Amino acid sequence: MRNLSLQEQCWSCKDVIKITALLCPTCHKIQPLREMNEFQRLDLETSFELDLVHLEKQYFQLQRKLHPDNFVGASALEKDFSRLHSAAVNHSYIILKDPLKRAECFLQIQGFSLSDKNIGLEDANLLMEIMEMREAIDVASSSNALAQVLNHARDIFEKGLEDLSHYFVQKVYAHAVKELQHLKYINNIMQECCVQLKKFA
Amino acid sequence: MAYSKKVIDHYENPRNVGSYDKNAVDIGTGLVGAPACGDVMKLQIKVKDGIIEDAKFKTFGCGSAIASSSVITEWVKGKTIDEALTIKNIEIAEHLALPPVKIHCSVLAEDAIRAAVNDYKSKQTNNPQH
Repeated sequence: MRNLSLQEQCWSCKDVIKITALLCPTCHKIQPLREMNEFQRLDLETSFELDLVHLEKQYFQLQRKLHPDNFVGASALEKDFSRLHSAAVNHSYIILKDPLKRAECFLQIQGFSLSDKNIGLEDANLLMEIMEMREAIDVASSSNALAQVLNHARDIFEKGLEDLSHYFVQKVYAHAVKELQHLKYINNIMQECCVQLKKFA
Repeated sequence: MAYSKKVIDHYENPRNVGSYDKNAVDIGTGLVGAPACGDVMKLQIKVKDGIIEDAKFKTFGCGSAIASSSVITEWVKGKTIDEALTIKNIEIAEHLALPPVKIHCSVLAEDAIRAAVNDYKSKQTNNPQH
């Protein structure tokens, strides 16, 4: 993880400032976009557990500071910085507010990859469960039948999210990867149910 | 991202979609998944005298995953089970002109062939009379 206690020079007034500074405390100029993870981007602790209300507050606070609307009269360079900051904050916000994307992001920071073939990938029972649910959607001939699959998937999803949280608290990341893989399959199934349900509506 | 004509053709007219009885002794079933995107693929081969007579697939995923599995059902037919194992994902990817971000779909298809052949072989070991 990047050490955010480092210092750098402001590009404009050359004062020494923290690399986390968005605006220079001396000359108030917007600073270039620095490399940091999604959590750091929103000025949050790097942790899966996240207060969504707090996340949203951070998001709006940062956008109020960084949004290109604030830099209409500024130089081309400052406009560029503002655009990049604003886009990066949007991107990080979208990832962090979705539990699955946040989990994947957090695990990547911890050095785990979802495509890691050594972790749980060839779980035949899991794949069978997913395939059976997929086939149930395929043959569903009424909105009732689809709703049944959807409800079943939702139950599994909610239980899985709870398990996932536990694994993060206990820092058993290999288990978290496996549960996240499971949840991604289930999430796709829920989405497909919703798509198919619309056809009946 | 634009799909190639071949991907669209296989996506719109997938070959050999369907299922066989997974418990039948002459059927090998390969069930594989791509956890990063949540796609699942089932490939089934029907084998007679060591030759793959027919193949069926069911894939729930993106166009490239469907096209990759559709292509392999055509390619494995008429091959011996060991010949089928020589099909490499890169051939599938080249044939369908898959973009780099979709190469993993062809890897999934290659994995499905291996899983189906392994399933068939293990059934023969457990049912030596056949």
